[in-house]
Amino acid sequence: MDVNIVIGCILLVVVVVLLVVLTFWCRRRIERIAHSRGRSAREIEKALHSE
Amino acid sequence: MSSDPAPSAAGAPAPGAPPVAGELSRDLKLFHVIMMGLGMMIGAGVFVGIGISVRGAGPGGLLLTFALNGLIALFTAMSFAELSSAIPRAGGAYNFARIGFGRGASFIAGWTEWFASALAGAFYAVVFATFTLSFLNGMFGWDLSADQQQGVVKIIAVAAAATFVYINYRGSSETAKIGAIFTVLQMLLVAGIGVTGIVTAFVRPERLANFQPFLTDDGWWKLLGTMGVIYVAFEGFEVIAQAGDETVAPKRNLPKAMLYSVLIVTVTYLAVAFASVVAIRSADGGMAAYATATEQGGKPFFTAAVEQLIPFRGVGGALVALAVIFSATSALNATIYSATRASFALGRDGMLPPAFARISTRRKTPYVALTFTAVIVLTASVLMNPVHGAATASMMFLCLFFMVNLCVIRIRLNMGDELEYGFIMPLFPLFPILAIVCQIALAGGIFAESKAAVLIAAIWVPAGVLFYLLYARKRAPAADHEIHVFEEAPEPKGDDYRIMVSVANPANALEMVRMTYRLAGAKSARVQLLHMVPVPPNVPLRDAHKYMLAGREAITETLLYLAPMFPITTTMRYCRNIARGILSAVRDKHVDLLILGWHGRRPGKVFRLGSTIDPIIERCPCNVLVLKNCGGNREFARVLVPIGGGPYSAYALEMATIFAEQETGQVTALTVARPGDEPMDLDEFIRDHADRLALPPERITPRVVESNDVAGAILAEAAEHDLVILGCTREPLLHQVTRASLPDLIAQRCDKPLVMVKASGGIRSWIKRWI
Repeated sequence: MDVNIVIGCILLVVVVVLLVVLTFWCRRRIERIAHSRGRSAREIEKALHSE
Repeated sequence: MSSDPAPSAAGAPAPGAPPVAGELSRDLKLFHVIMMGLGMMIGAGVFVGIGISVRGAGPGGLLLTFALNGLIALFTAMSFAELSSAIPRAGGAYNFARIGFGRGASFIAGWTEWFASALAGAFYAVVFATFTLSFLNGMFGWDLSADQQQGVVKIIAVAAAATFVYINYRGSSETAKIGAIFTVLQMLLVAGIGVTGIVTAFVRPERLANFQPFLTDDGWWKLLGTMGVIYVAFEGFEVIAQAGDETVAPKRNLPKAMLYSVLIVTVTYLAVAFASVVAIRSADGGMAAYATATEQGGKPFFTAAVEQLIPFRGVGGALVALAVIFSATSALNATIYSATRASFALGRDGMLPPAFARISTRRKTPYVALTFTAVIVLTASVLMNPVHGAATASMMFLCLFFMVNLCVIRIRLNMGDELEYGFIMPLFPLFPILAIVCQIALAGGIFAESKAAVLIAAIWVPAGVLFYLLYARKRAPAADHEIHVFEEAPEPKGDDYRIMVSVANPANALEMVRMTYRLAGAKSARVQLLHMVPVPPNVPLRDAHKYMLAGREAITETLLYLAPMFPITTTMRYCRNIARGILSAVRDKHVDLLILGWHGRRPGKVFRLGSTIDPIIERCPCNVLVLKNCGGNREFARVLVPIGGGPYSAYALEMATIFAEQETGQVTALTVARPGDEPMDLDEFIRDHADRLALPPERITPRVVESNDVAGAILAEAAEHDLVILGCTREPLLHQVTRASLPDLIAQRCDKPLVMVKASGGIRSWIKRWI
């Protein structure tokens, strides 16, 4: 099998998985921030780590 | 379109009365703003782009082009999402650049965004007209000459643009709802094509052979080029940032809408691209060669593919026409919206004539900004080559995205403690840095494709700079986040060592400054007193001088007392945030050493030393001393310096030799080793740094203590000394918020006078200063 196909397919899968994971990771952070008392970046980081 | 002046009770504005201010209505929900982003992203770019990608990069390269571009777009969308959640105002990138880099950069950002969006709107209007005419030709069999077709396309383009200008004038809700209808229709069509392709691949698996060869002969390098050209298909999520003033719960909905838009559009593009490849029944010689031959024959590759995918009496061709018409229409709507909001924000802040900020009280829309945007869109629809217009807009959008990615880093570092975020990206600043690197590569790809884009950008951007210098710079009012110099003594020239003493409480200024006697003498330094006055957010900056009066008297008294002893000047500034104000003064005055006072209490769990001191220690480009309990005319006969080999140990030892009583004072260099561990060689450490110490090495006593409790051992030793000097922690912010560092623990528990030191220098400091 063409090595480009192997590399391309692996790259494609990795990229798509990254897209989905990053999007839902960010969405989860948005929800957690909305429900936390943190406001500034430092407070939010602290709140997210203390959960 | 006419203005709607706000009437007074008598039906006309009262003489001398302040103008009635309008504001945008807040009625867009998450669905509307997602559809707004999708509507602009799924424009004509994907339909044209599929052919370009297959020809350039091959069928596998086509999928990789869309997937990788989607990932790069997501990186930038995360930056937009974070900034929009913290600064949810109309203006988007313009506002971010203003807060991140100041008025000049923000004007160029807004100016570029306005023009880029308007050009993109003209491009979509012409695409809409072209495919509408093609669709009607197919239905009715018209026989028009090339000139006639060109004329009809221009007429339809102008009519379409004018229609959407009017729809935008009707109001944001109507705009979003009409846009949403078109977007839903186009999504159904495009998704239908994608699903048909996937079904085809299951029914006829032999069509998967169309993916061989996976790439063209030019391989991976050509892939980068096609990504640059096709990136235009991923522009659009930034329009969501423009809706900050009109969105319900913007801190939550804006970031979500941006991220969802990029994910949905990438998956949709991948499905359509996959369908286009498996649709072809026979592609002898490879898919790239087939696509080239098809397009040379006058038919777009995507149209040819869908006609083979759905071969029922021209249904495929009609579907393509409808999909392009719907997508170009919604993109046209969104680009006019975006361009109008960009120019509105410029007018609101005085960068463009104030008329641009006028809002219709009846329709709640910025009608003057919309009128000027319409002039650009309509003129470009008639005059401009749509391909080069799109390339120019893409280049400018990439420049904007580049700036926004820089902004998100700078704003988080400078203002992260004072803005209220609805979203902060994970692994900061990894993704903005990745986006910047990728965008530089993509800009190179676009640059290679269109010289006209470079020419137009080279005219528009300098024109903006000229307009800013001649008009906008003088009129732009100071923003609330800026630092204002209230009173400043003239500063003598010279390259002397500069010490700045930040006086939080003017009544204690004298006590604070006494500690600098020895420092100023040892360094032959010039001392500058700084007093920052925080102004509450609800007080206009023009009234801030009322807060200055008390501080000025104390500062003047200190100045008179100290002036005969060493060169001293004073600065009084007012600001919204003290830490940022002090850092700004340090940079402005090229300070070598900053001295701060600390009350010794930990204010809650979030900050280590305080909401002002923590950001200063993290970001200050010069050396910093934090004094605790050091007031009065004290003599320090015995000074303790705990040394762990950390980055600031040498500087702490140097300061200890300066603060120790010069005739008989002793310095103890202490290291704590755990039982069984090899202790640090203090003699060698002292010898290595002897040239920077103010005392001879024989007055410095090395001492090694074995203990498992490092903090306890240091505190026990501190009880035998008059002063403790500690190096600050250099752990990243993430570590600091999860656990307290050893220096912080000691600083909080030690009841002796204590100085915490942080030295500048090194690549890390240089990068921070540059950012």
